[in-house]
Amino acid sequence: MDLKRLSSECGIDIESALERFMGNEEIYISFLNELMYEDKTFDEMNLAASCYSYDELFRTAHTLKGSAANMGLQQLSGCCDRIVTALREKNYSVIPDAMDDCREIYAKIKHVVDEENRNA
Amino acid sequence: MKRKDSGKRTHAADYSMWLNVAAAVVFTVLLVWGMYLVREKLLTNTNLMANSLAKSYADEEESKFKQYESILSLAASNIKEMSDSERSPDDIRNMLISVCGETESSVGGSVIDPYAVLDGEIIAAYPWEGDSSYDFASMDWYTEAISNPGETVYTDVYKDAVTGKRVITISRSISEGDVLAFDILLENFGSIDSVKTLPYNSSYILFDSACNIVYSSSRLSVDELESSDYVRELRSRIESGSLEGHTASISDTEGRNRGVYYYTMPNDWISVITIPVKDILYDDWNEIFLVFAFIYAMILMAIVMFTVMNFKSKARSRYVEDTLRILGDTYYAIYRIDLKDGTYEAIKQRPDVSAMLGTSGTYEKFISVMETCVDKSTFNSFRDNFSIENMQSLAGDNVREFGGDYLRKFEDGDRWVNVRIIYNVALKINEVIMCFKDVDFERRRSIEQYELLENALSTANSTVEKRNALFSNISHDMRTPLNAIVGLSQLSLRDDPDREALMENMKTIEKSGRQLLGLVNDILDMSKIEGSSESILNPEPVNLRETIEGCIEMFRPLAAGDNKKLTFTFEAVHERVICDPLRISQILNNLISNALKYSGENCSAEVAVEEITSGENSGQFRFTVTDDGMGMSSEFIEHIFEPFARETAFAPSRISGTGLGMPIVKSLVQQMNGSINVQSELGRGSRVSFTLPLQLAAPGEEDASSARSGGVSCDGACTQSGDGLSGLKILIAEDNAINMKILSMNLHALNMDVLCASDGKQALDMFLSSEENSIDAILMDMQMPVMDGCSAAEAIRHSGRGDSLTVPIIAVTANTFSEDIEKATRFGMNAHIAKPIEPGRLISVLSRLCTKKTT
Repeated sequence: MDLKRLSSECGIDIESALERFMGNEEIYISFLNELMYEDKTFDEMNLAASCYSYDELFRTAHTLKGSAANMGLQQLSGCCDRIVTALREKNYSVIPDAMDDCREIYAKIKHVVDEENRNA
Repeated sequence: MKRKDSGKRTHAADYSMWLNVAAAVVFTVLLVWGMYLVREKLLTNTNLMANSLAKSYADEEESKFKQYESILSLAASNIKEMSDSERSPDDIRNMLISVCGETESSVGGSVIDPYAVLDGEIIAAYPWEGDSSYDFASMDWYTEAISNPGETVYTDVYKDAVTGKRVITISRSISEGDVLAFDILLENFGSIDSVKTLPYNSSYILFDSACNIVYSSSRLSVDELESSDYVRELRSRIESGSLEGHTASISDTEGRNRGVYYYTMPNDWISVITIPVKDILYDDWNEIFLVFAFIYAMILMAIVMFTVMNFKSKARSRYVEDTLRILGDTYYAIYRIDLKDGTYEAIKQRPDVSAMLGTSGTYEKFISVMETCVDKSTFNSFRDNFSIENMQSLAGDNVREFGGDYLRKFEDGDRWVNVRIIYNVALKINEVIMCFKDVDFERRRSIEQYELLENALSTANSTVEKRNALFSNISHDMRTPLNAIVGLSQLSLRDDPDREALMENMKTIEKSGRQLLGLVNDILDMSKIEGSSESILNPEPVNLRETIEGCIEMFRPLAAGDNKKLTFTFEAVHERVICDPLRISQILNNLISNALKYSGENCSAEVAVEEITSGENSGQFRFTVTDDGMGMSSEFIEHIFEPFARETAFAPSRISGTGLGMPIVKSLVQQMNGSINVQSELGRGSRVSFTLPLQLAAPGEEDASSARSGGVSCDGACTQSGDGLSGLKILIAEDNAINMKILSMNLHALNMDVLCASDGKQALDMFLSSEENSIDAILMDMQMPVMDGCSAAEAIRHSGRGDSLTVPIIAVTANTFSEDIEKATRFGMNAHIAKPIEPGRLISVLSRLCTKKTT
């Protein structure tokens, strides 16, 4: 997997993320794949948003914020943070836009990861 | 007065309703009584009619008897004549037979059987067997006739010995020992024509003096009747007289109630007529009764409806009256003014004027009484506005309402009152209503509000002025160092200075730059403190002693350089408190800096911390900075907290500083809910003290700030390499699989054992089931399902195990809001690590908290 491409196209801070994986790129890639393919948090977040279950949305957004940050996915983490903050402040009107951004970023990352996996 | 009226009104309504009810009752009673009277009348009339009918029947019988008697008498005298002229018994017999025939034709029916006793022998018109041996002398008809000569004698009814039929015998003595007798067959006796005219169901019975039935019009046979209980009762009751009254009745053989009407004849025979009571009262009565009942029902319904409607309309009018009264109550006085007559009528008024005004009077009197209640100028205006002429012209202009506020003298002081005249087309053309309302509260409140607005406006103005002054001060203070920077830079660039001069310039530029930076930072701080609605404080558990020691350490070189003494005394019981160490340091830095700045060589400054009061969870801490330097004048102390204020008298010419230090200090102290106090004497020194209420940190909690606040050194176990962490057992509570794996991976890499729990409840259970002190630290995610991090931490702290209070719990979370950090602390967590996890930070926090295996 071309991590540089990930870094440039998805704005991922690979360097600081690799710190958490002791500099081991392979371990990082396996975790990234797990986040993209096995972890259900994003789907749960989507569902919560569409059902307007704000409690569930808070929990999932908060969780995804952490895992995305761990993987260096700053944009995604930042988006989730926007949602968490909006829910805290009960500023519900901004949530649809924030969710749209989240989906867009997630889709982009997924697209790149899919392609890289196919090419690998 | 009003209350009595309403009472009367209620009474009136009640009366009316009760009256209607009473009317209905009376009507019913009258109706029933009427019906009773009618019944009585009917019975009485029937009684009279039937009795007289009975008498007329009796009279008919009597006349019949008279006929028999005359025939008997004639026949007797004939027989006497014949006997005297010694006619033969056959002749006499024949004569008797012809008497039969005559009686038949005159009276009707083959009625009689005549026979006579002549010279001791029976001569009969129709001889019977055994007549020769008939013992006539023992017979009543013979003995009675003999003892009553010249009179016709009647026997009672008896059964003829020969025929067995019911007969009576009438007899008369002819001469001594001789008697003529007629046997009269009762079956032919009583067919009186007029009996046929009896009402249907009525019956006629003729009793003899022994109450045997002589005749009965009933379809039942005489024998049946005589043996019936009905007739027995009839007989006995007639005898006892209990059937005399018009209402007396008897139950016949078919159980029908019959009225009994009778007439006793001179010969003690009784003529009895019985009529069924039902026929007397209700014959042709059913329809009338129905009509009556219908009319009654109609009238009753009408009464009920009328009562209900009346009640409803009374209730409605009471409701309207109450509403009007409530409306009226908003006015404490109401008058009707007649503009044409110039008079007033008081509808409602206060007692203090009612004595003077009474219920009515002239309008001039009204105005003159008003004069006593208001001040002069108000009165003049009132008199002009509410003159008859003015009111008339307003009414003419169709002004419906007119009024205003004025101050009226009441017994308990002056109050604002609103007077209003109301002109309504519904009233008479020249009448208006004048009403008075107490508006004191509203009026005073609007005056207050007006004053408040005025104050707010002037405050806003003065704030703008102060701000303008501040800006001009700031720009002045910024210009000085800026000018130095620009000027010296230009100088350095223009000339070809030597290195030494250049270095001097650079030093000055650097110093000016730093001064400018300090000023800008202070200004930003000020605006943040003043402008921010949120608190800028970040409280956390700290070791107060260490924090303050850190502040003082920074000034030691400076103090030593000027030969100034700097001492620190910490006399508080509790060292560990929850506060913002950065801000406390900032305050103390300012105060210590001033103390050192405004004192000469060999002066001394002291920093003291005391715990004035302490409770279970918090205490009041007093911080005092004292110096024996140049002090301040009392006039200056008043302005010490104003931005850019500086003591001007006796101050060294170059005192550096932004002039914002004390204002910032005061703001911060106030934000911490504390208070600050400044005492000073020119030339003697100053003492600044501030008191803060601080929450005590739980014992055993390591201060989280030591790794962060500047100036405090880490304790020796703090290493970046994490060597000392090998072998530690860490419990991780994290619901997300990826995050858990990353954390575990990092800990495994450091040779630590890891226990994994996917929610707070699991973490709690794992802790409780572990051996005491076997778990070295807990990394607790905050947001988890089932039981979140805070609840789990609280539960662990309260679990009562030996290590429940000492085991380090580290909050691991993406939350970095200060309230989340504070919340984590409150629930017993020792430290906080933000996600995404930085391995270095993780190691340093674990190293700090897990002292067990490192020492």
